[in-house]
Amino acid sequence: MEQVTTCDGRRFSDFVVAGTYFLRKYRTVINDLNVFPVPDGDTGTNMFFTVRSAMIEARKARTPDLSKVAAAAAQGALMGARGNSGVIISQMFRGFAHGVRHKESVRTIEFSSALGEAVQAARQALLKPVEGTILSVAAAAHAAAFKAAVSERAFMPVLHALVDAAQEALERTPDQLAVLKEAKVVDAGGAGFLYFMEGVIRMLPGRAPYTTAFPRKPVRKTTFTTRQKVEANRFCTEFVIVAPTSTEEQMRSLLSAHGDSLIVAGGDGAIRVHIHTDYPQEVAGVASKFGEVQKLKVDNMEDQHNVLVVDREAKPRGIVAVVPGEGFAKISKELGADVTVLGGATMNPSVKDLLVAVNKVLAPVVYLLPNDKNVVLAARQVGELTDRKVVVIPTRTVVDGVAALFSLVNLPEDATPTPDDIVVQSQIVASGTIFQAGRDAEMGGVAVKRSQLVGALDARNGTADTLVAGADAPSIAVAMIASAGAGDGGLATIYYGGGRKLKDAEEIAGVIHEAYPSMTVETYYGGQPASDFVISIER
Amino acid sequence: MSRVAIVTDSTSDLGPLAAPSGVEVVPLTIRFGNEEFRDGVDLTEADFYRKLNQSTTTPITAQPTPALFAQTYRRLLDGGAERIVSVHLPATLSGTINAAAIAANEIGGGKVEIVDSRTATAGLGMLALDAARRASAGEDAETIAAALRADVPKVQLYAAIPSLTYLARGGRIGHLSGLLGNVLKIVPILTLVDGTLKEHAKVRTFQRAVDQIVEIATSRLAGTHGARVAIIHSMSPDLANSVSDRLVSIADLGSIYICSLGPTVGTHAGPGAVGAIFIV
Repeated sequence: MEQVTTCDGRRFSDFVVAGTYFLRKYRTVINDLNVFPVPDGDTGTNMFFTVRSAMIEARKARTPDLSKVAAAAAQGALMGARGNSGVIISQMFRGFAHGVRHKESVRTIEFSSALGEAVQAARQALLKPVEGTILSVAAAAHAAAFKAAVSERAFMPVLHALVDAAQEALERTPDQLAVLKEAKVVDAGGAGFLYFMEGVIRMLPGRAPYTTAFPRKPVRKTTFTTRQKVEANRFCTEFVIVAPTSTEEQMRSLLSAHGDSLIVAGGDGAIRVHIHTDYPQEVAGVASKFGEVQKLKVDNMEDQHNVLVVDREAKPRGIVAVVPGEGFAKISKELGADVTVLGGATMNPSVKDLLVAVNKVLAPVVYLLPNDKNVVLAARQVGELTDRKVVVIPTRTVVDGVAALFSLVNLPEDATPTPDDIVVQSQIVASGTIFQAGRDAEMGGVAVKRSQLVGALDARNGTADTLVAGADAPSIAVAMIASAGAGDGGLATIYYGGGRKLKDAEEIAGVIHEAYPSMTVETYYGGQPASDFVISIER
Repeated sequence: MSRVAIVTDSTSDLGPLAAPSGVEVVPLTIRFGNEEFRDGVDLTEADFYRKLNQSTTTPITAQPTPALFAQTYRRLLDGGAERIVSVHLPATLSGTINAAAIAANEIGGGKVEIVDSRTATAGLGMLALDAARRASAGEDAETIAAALRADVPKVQLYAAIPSLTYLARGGRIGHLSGLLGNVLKIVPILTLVDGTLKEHAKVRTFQRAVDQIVEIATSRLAGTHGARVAIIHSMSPDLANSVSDRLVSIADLGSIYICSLGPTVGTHAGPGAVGAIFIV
């Protein structure tokens, strides 16, 4: 069998592809290990996206020149870096690229030296390097690879030495970092590094694949992966029983029927209990018969889980919607928006806000709904700044946005329509807001005084914005419907915000219903701060 | 009596159409708490929906027993039928077809041909009516069964239900559960695909859902000849009539009738639902 003794740009690109594939495959495992520095369960996802970005750039380079491919990968990693671990990985790519500059291909010894530069670059990028992390694992890997490369010309034995050393170093991380030991896990970033290298080694022709690191089950059994749903025993309940009158064994058998993941640990006149249950108070009640219950802590794991769900399956298309309030955010998410950005009226989101939101969506095509005429322009900038394809649907109001979401939600899951395919306008006859005028104004013959309640119909079908006056909110709403020529059947939707309550919206609904009995009127919480009501009138 | 007898179950919602067409209907059982009724025999539709509204518990529909099927088959065979074609709603929705199959096996001799309609209510009803027509025209059991099986994939059902309450209560919502607990009121247009209820579209109001069903029917029926259509409804005859009026003129239809949803489907749809079923 042919031995691989050189690594050129193409092979390096293959290496990155394989490593990325493995990170993709095991990212949830890595997510579950993640307790340091922030236990937010996203290390695997962050590393994957970072190396994926490196991979995309490396493949685009399409040259056998290693220096060029490595440089492209480094640039890709930097652009795509997400999270702490992502930044560290991107620095490694940068260091490696520097190590192979001017080289079209390298042998094992040069490859290993470049790895040394990679480790060095990562270390330098951190203000305070911590041992027991990806740094320690990568350093051990480099040392072993370098040692092997002195006598070995083939990549296979060198990479084996590298993976073995990385594996050993990974196992040592709990001894180096207390927080890992406490959580009974190895370092997530280090594990990610190892998985990446495991992928690399599989790209080499020759011996049967050699496995060390996978499948690595997360040791931390009390957590859950993003795939696991929290359905039963939703409350993670912890407490200490001081001066217990029962043994740990008794306590364990007493509580075991009340939930799962039960841990009863004793010591020094106290018993520590950890249990996942649906009835935390009942559990504490049972325990309190055997001593004083202290430090009762109850966490709803559903909430935690929802925070942890960063790693959804990639899907063909995603949606980002700018919304003027919490109520609209909720409605938009129900209608399929993956990410919402608060904005509109007086608080336009920046291009960066939109970019961040788009990058959160795990889909190659992202539909961006600006939902405000002043956000459309910013939305159009986003496409150039991300590797996702951004399709801006130029929705000028949040009412248009809701209609666009309805249009999108009714298309097949794998359809990626153009903005023209999305029916926004057809059903909307008119939309507008009712708000307190911020100043005296006159428009189209309607004069309003500062702080007077006034309606504004959005420009639509070639008409300009128009003001609508009225004595109170219900009469303004009715006047808006009248001026739009609607009311014969159809649907009026009133979203309340500002300081308004549901009963205010219902009052309007009642008055509209009296004026136009054939019209359906629905009221929802929009939560928009800038106006009392947003109104949509549809046929 | 023709030599081939046609049997279906009460989920076909044939009602008074069954007897004159020569279709034998085996009733399912509806249980409200401790009260038990035979579908279409002991319980009128108006009574059923009134009970459904008042009752806090979901009525339970139970498939006919294999014994009841066997009894029916024997009676028909003793009465002069040589063969039986028995067409039923799919196993994905009920155990009825299994009970029929067990009975057919018990009778033995290949006398009973079981056909899975992959649909329910008027879809099943239209298949049974067609089978009866073929039987009286003298077609043999194999030919009838083959014709039914060829029609099964052509049956399309679209329906709108004004409230998801009953669907949720009956526990049949499963994969449609995304529709529940929503802030925004959404009316789904439901469709039957391979014997499973699926969401075809989401719209804002019931009226729009009805309009969209008419649009779907129009686009599917336009330019066809001899399509068989049924408008289904639960306690909404006026709405069903208006939908029917809108569909009558769009194509050269083979047949169209209005079908009131019986208890088996009605339990899950609740009152006020409307839909269109067509075989085209």
